[in-house]
Amino acid sequence: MNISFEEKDGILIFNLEGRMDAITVSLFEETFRTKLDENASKLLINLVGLEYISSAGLRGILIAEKASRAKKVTLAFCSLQNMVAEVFKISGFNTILKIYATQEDAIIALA
Amino acid sequence: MLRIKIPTQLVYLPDVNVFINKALPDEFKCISPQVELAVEELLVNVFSYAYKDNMEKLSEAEVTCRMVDFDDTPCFCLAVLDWGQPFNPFSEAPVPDTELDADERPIGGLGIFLIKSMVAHYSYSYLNKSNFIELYFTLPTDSK
Repeated sequence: MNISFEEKDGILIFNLEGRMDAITVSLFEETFRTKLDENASKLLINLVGLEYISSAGLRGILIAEKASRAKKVTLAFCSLQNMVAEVFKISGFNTILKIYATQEDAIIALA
Repeated sequence: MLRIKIPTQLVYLPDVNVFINKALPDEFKCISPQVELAVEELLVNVFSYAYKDNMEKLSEAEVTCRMVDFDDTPCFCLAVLDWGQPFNPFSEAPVPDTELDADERPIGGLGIFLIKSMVAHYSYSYLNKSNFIELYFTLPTDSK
């Protein structure tokens, strides 16, 4: 999995690419924790390039959501691809996370 | 029947994915992510728990694939075999409450639930001192 960053309208955007599985989830967890500690107030995770997620990846997402809520940081997700959207729906993550269809929609909502 | 045997270490997971994608017939390639998810969930369980109380056993897992007609429906059958302690994940793994909010949710425990949601049939047996799990995948309705 590759993670890159950009900043738009005061929102720190994570661009995730590849697979979030039992092997790669630790990279996401460490990277997210580091950015959360840098005191960003709005975070957006763009999943347009994420082709696969397993329960290990869901664990990383839930840890990120819990940590953001604890620090009163706004966290949102956007641009879910088919398999990731299916896994989010089965596990009920689509109802507990802020999810937007596109990055533009998310930026408008978080502004 | 196609077969791969691996040591019980995460680093071998990509080899299993390559194996599965070679084994999947062309018409079933569209469910490759679901099959990869299922085998990851099962193997991570095996890697984490199956051999932890008996390190003297050779820590290996085997994955096999074959096509099966199940009640006249073509299925891609994935089987996972290990020689660790008896464990039926389908009956023993707790069922998660997927309606809880994030604050109330425990971390983890979704793997077996995801598998059950994605397969047409699943089975577990303890046979010749091994755990034997079979998963049967059918094509989604809109791709038939």
